[in-house]
Amino acid sequence: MRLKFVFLFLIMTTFLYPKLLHGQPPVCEHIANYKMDVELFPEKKTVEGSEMLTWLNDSYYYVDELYFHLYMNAFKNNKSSMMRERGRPLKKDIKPIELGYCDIISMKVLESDYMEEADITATIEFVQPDDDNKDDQTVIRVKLPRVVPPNGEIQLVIDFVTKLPRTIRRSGYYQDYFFMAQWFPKIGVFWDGRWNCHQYHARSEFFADYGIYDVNITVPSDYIVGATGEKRTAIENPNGTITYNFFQESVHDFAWTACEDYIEVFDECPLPSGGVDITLLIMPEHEKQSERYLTATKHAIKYYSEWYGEYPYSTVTVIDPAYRSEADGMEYPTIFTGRTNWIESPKGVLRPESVTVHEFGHGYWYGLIGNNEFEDAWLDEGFTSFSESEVLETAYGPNLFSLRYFGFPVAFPDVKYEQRFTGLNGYRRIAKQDIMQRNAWEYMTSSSYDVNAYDKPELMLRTLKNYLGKEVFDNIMKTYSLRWWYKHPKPQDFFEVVGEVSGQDMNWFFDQFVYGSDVLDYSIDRISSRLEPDSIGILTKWGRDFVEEETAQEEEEAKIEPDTTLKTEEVEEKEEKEKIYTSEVLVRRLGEVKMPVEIQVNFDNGETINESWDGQYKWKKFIYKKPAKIKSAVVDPEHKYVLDINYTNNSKIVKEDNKAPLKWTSKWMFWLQNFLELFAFFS
Amino acid sequence: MKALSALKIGSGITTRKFGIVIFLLIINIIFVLVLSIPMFYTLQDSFGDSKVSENMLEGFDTLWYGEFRNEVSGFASSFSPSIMGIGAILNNFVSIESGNLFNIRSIPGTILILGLLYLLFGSFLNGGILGAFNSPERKFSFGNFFEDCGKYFIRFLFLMIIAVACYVVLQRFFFPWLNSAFSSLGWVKNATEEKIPFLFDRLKNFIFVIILFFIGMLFDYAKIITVVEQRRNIIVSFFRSLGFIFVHIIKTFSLYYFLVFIGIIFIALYTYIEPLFTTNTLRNIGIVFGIQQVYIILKIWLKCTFFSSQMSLYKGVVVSPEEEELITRTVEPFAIKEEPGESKSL
Ligand SMILES: [Zn+2]
Repeated sequence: MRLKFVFLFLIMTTFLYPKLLHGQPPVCEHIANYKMDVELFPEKKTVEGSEMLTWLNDSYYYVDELYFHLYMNAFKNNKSSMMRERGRPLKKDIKPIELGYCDIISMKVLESDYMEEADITATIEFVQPDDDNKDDQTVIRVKLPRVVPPNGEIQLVIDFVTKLPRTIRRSGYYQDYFFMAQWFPKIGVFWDGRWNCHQYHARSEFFADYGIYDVNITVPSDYIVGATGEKRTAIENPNGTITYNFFQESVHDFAWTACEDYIEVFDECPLPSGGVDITLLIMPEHEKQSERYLTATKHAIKYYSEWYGEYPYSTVTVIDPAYRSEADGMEYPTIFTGRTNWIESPKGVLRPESVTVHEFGHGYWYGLIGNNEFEDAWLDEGFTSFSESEVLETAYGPNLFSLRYFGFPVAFPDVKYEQRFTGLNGYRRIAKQDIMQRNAWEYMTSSSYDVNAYDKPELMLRTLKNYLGKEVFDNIMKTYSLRWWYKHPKPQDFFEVVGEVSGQDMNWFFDQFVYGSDVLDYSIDRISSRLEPDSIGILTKWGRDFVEEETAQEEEEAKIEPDTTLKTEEVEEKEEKEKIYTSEVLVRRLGEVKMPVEIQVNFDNGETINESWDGQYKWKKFIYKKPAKIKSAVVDPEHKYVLDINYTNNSKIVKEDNKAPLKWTSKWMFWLQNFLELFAFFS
Repeated sequence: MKALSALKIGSGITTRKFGIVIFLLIINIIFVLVLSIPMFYTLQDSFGDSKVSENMLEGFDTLWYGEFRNEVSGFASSFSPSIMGIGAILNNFVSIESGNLFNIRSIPGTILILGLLYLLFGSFLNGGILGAFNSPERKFSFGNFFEDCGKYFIRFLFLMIIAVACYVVLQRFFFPWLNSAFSSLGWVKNATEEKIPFLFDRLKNFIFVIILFFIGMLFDYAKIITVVEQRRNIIVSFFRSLGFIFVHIIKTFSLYYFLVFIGIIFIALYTYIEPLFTTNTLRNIGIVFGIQQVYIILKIWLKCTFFSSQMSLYKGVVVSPEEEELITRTVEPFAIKEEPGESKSL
């Protein structure tokens, strides 16, 4: 009976569950809901106002304290963890106006079934769960007058003033440009029976619960505003300001920007169940690049919807940030920033396209799939980088190598960077420095963070895709995506989907790449062909038989008249064909990572043999006896394992000439000739 | 004499003495072969007998390049896809503009040493070149050529050191100052758009080029004066050069920029012609190599024509007594024992 049930359950999960999910959009549980009323004061560089937070305890625990992020306090002084971890210290002569902080004026709990109204401002204390840096003020803890039971809901009203810093880490002010990210007191995530509320680190992003954001923003009326969600109303105030209402359900953050200079460009992207309104806020000097931003956004919406579930929000806002705003590309729910230059990149050089596709992609792997970016950065950045390359490859093809000479871009059409190898150069350099699965702020260096959060997971996913096959992998990605929309998956949850959809235990794969720093490197060590030698010695069953045979043969040969005519070409050719060669291919595993590999061997008669090797031992030799010589051999001929840190050693050919080194030496030589003439200028 | 006629006479002299141009090309090739041969073996070794050879013959294997970049150090690390086409020329302009030309941190040591040796050897050869141009009717002989090389070497060496020092001062002190001056301008400092700082950066590039060319012109005339007037004191040559340039500012500048313009035409021609050939056969590799050598010949021809036409201008301009007075006054403090040359070589 019980077995039957388990069997039924298995069938359900394997076949029906993903299908059901593919058909119906997942539902979001709103845990942290914010109703805000805030005003931007451009002169003071502040945002002031209040938020009403409705928080649901969706755990099985009783909660008697709350944790909040005050991210802006990272920019309060040079002692915060952010500033200590960051390579660049604050400049000594920094003016107070350039610093940032978030002050809570008051915090009140409202009366409810299990709560009496109380002012809890006095209970606020700074805590440092990550590093005990007592100077860090980016996380606070407050005591509640009573406990919140499981499924209990409480309401708080928080009055606050956020002083914006001179733009740093994408947020703040620069001239009349304002970007408000991580700007309001934000509740942590009560997860696995404890508060998960990390400090603001130089190398890590964020984690929050889903909810409804209903935000009134007041700004001087000449400011153009872009924000998370849908702009519902705009009301002009008698004092020369305007109040916008932005509303969005099922998101876990809210960011906005205001600037007098933005030009608004509107577009839309049709989808099966409606469409998405795209708003582009672009700097005037980039206006002629609007089309590039919009086209890239539409490509991203289209392919993401196709591959990972239809984009569920009605808006997306693309921001082209001000020069020197330290913004670059960054993602927030339904709004993201891109980047481009005044002198536009030539066609084929994917700027601003790649950053646009990347940041939109976060809308899925960070926005819809609410993983913990502090602890599992790669679940966001890695998946986003992977999908970015997939979209770019499909929509644009390879990215051209380009350089800027005196500010002017020059593309090199012969030098194409294929999207599927993105990140390999970075990864190869420091592949063994860290283990991928690690807290984001605990990688050895920032390059190591880049490699382990972006490059390696991207290459790992692509290797997995090529290993399992496109169809299975696509199904994995869609199932994982839709199953974990509006939830907080951990790496294990992804591995489970992989196992479930592929029907294979892939733990050996993830153990090596996610929890290890070993590298993958297979190589063809050598290929050779030699003529099968004429037999020497005794080949008969018994030694004595040989002597008898030999004498008989000699007698026979003596009877035949020797052939004195010259060998014709035909005969020679025939003889050549009859020659038997022994060919050898030695394949080696140079890295510690073990994966089954394919080997392709080509012979000079046009024959191709495909071999498989489990790749477990350190080497494997393939031997052939054929009337043909070996021409080339390749291990992993389709280059499925893009994680292989050296692909040059994956092939060997019987060398024909030195044309290639000659070609490139002559090009380099010309460069050097010019270079020397440059020196001669001073002679 | 007008700038254009100086150019005409000068280019005529260089063309008649084309042997010198070819000789300089051979010197250039000998120098680059010192590293090109090891480069060939480095590339051959790196391509190995792998499929990379095929890929690199047909195009550029970016995967291989990533691995190569990760493994090599020293002179081979200067190999990059940007040496293709116009990149080979533009990269070098960037080096000189960014002040990286004599910077060991941005140029591999072996290449820097080779460059410095070339510079030194160039200083040595300039005596021979200018000596030959100074007596265009004299039949060229290597004996005379090297005699002149030896005769002027020490003087030219000092001029070269001063020229390099000027460049270093420009890069180390003047440009950082110009940079901070520009960046503290309200327009640049408070720019919310890239446009303004971009234009200021280009203005900086422009100022740099003007100054660099001025240095080039100043030291060209200093060498010319040393040879034409048989000056022993290079400080005198230097200031006479300065005086001459300013007295005949229109002629000297227009001649120099005519020559620069010719250089730009050569670059444009190269940029147009080089990509017409895909270098995947031995024949085309040879053709492109030929085109490149023609470009280098033109470049050397131009370098020589800078000398010959500026020399023609210097010799051809009639200096009025008042002008001579002005030039002499510029030189005065340094001219205590200096007499004009004993004998002008013919
Ligand atoms: Zn990202």
